[in-house]
Amino acid sequence: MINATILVVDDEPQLRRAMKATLTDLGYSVIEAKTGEEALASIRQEPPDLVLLDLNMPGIGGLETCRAIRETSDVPIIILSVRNAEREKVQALDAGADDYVTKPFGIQELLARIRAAMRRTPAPGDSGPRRFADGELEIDFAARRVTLKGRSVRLTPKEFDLLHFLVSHPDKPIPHRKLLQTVWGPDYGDEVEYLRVFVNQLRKKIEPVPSRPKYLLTEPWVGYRFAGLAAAE
Amino acid sequence: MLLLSGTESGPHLPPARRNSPDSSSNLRCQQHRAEERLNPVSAYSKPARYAFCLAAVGGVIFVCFRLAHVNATTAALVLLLVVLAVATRWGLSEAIATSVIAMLGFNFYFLPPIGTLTIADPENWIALAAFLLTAVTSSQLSSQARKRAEEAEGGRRQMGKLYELSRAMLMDEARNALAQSVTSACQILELESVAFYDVAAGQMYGSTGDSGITPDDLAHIASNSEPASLERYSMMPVRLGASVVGALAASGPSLTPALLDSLAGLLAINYERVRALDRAAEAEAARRNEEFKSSLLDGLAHDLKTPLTAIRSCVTRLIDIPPRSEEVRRELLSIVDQESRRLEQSITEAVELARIESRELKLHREEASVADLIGMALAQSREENPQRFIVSVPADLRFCADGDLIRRALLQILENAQKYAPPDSPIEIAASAQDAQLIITIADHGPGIGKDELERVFEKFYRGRRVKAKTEGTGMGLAIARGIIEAHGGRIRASNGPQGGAVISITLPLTQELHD
Repeated sequence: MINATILVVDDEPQLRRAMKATLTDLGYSVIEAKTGEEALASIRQEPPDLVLLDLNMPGIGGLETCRAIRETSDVPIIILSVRNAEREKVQALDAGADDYVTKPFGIQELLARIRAAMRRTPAPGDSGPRRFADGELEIDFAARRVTLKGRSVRLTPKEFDLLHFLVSHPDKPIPHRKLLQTVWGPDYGDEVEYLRVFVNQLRKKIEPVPSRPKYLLTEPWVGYRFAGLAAAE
Repeated sequence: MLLLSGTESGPHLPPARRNSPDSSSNLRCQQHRAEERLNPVSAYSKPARYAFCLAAVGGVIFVCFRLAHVNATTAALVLLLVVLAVATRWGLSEAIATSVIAMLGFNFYFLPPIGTLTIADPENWIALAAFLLTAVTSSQLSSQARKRAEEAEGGRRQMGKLYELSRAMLMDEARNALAQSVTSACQILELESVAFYDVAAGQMYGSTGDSGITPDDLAHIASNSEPASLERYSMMPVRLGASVVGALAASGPSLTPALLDSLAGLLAINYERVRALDRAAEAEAARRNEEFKSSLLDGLAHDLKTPLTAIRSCVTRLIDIPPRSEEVRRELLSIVDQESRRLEQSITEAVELARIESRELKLHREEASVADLIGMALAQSREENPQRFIVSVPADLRFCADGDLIRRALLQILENAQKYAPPDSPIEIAASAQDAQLIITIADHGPGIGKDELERVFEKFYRGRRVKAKTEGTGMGLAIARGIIEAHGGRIRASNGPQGGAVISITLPLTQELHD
């Protein structure tokens, strides 16, 4: 039985009620918040394992709430919204969300997304590298810590997992689908925009010059490649 | 002397009863009159002026001849001064009259043989010529100076008026700015009438009086691009750059070709300005309409998809992962039940609103009791505490309307009050008749409505800011109420009560003749 706390942030009481009813007896405990402000207060008080966040809310709204949560926490965030335009999705991912689910959704889909958002690539065994260091960039996979030029860089779990997978296969182009399925889960594969947003965010964090990446390279029409040289230990 | 005056001053000799040396323009004439009002000395009438000249000459001669006993040269010089003074002050005709009188008096009293009008000595002719030359020359000079001053003043006044007109035109942002500009032109430029024909709109603004000038005539002027005149009217095309945008017709005593030209220029600029304003307003309206449509769709999507989301997540849960506990199963099913009812209500209201808005609404008017309708709406409101309704409606108040629809409108307003005001707080319903109008007010003791929201609360999917977070509902209720009330030719307004709380007031015609 899973035992995780999920914070449901939605201004519609009947949706919070439905989420509670559908998730509670599956091993999740559900906390509710009516607004973004309430959600932030609740996260400070009792950090949840995952946040289900509505976009269209009065007050500070879903996107702002997402950014505010990201300032202090790496908790996985799934956006629930009735809008399904690509632009909205990219905006939400840019704001730091891990995933985006369009309302209305079936329970299986939601559960799959929740599992995917909460899953971590397993701690590296013998196969993957434990550390990466080339003088500028240092990644400690066991401690999930990244430093750039001696300064510590905060990555969200999904960003870290994505980086981990790419670094584990240095100098090899990884196709989009492979990346999505490994990092997000087997239900994913077509969400190329997720990769675009997350790779951009990673570049901003770990590239000395984000506009001219030297680590995270785009392989046109294929996917992405980590240019690790021989620095990986 | 007559010969002299006839040749030298003939063109300047004004016709009888005219007090201006130049009467070609009435505008100038008016200004001259205005000047006279300001200058009391020249306000004397013509005969009075001649009398004054005679008296002045007589007085000088009397003083010189009787009292001072001066010689002829001194007397001549003093008389010359009088002529000079009259010439500069009043003008040629008075000056000539004064010269003649002075010459006659000088001859009679000072030139030998004294006491006769005979001129013995040729020197006397020289004296007479000197008087006349002084009179003519100085009056010419002064009248020219005056004329120039008047012209300058007239030009300045005209510039001032044109400036005033251009200001009036530019400040006007009204919808009918073109019509207004024609009216202002007429008033400010003191013209009898001004008309402007707008080629693009095919419309004429202003009037052409009883001249019989039709819009077609002006259209003709515009298409020919040639000025013309008819009776007192001058007409000319109005150009903007190379293209003719309209035609102008004007009449009035103060109208000069230059003024007509300037007016055409001003109208052209104003025409372009109004067009630009119109285009900007159209673009703004289109943008707002787009915005409204997209917010409408957002609102509708939200209202339909929220219950749908709850239903789908519960139903898929029941199907895919059947809960083991009966309690969870019942909770999931009860959510599905409630949400499907909400969905039904949303759809019903959306359809109803669409019907009202597409004016498909057919009113079945019949006489009804206001108290009965309000009572039925109250009964339908599903209020658990009917005590909170405070009703003050005269029992005999009746009106003519579609009772079913009015009851629905009232119900929407009541439900709105129930939603926004704290539970069990009183809701006051009052009705009265005033000037053939039925007035119903529904006042609650909730948080009230923000000033900027008073209009917006009747918009579709709009929800009050002050309470949005905790309120359920479709946001269509007040829009439906407004649709129904307006279909009856009535009005609905929102305001805040003296002790806070929202007040919705409905005004409806009591009888149906007024609006059917």
